[in-house]
Amino acid sequence: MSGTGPARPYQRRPGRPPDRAADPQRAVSELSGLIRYLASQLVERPDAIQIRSRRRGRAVIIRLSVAPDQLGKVIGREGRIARAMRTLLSITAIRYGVHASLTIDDQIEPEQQPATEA
Amino acid sequence: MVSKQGVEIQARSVEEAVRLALEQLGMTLDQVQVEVLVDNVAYGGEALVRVTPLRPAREPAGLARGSVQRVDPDTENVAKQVVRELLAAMGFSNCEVVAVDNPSVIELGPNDPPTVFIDIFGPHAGMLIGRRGEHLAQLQYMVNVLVNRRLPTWTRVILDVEGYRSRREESLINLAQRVARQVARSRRPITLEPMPASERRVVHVVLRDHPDVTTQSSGEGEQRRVTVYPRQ
Repeated sequence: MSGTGPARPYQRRPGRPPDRAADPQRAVSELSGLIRYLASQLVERPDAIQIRSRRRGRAVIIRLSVAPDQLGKVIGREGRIARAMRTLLSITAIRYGVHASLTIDDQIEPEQQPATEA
Repeated sequence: MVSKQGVEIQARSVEEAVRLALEQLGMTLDQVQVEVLVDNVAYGGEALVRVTPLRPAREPAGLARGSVQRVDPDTENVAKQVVRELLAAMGFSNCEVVAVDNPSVIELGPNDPPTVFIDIFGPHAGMLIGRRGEHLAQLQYMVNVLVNRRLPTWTRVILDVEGYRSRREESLINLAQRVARQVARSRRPITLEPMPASERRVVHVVLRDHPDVTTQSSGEGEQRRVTVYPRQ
């Protein structure tokens, strides 16, 4: 943290991906996309998953909901699949300059009201 | 695939990799075909070359290094496809994904499942390793789950990033031998740092036939570690 000087033009730090800090909204869609890809590969009915995401500053919160009988498929024995998903999510988050967290449940809800955009 | 008795080598430069490959084959440059599979030297990465003898090497008696048991190309392609998809979903789409020969000094035994060895090269691939290889371990776990949802028979995928596992294996071998000498001299056991199963296995295998020491793992989960004991 280098104080609160005037906003300097964004400088790429060496060794960091160029698309870092590019567009936090893009981070949300990329991170949701990763979880959607993983979940759809893991469950039996790939259409029956729901992903809700929101962003608060640099923190992206992703909630994955699957059918109750599919919960084991995305959690795995001793939570190993869920753990791997979270690790891959956080690597990807670094790439987009944000932090991300993932919660998993079986509470699929009918399409949300349009007022609560992701 | 059968006649190919080539070797795949990676090193810090293409020239170095070719030199090592020739050394291993005992051949000269005009006797082989060189394919550069990956050249990331310009990005501070590694180069991977495949060196194939033009004429099949004279079959040496017994099993040569050519006893590379690679699974069929279709299975390798499924594994590569899964890794590419996953990397693309993670924003690492310009990584190169190659199937390689078993890079480990530990050869596969009859009890090992069919195994695909995959190496990833790319501009930010280092992020995929993580502290003590933790990211790589999780990535490998997920790849195995996804690959085996697509394949009918259980197949294992061992994933690497720019030869990290091979370099780690090399330093583990050195460590094991150094510690063994020390234990043999002092007659006192030495316990190593906690390591993942694959790394503990390297230590056990390296010291398996050592005349003066034996090895034993103890502890649970993340804390499991190898102790080197003097042989009674």
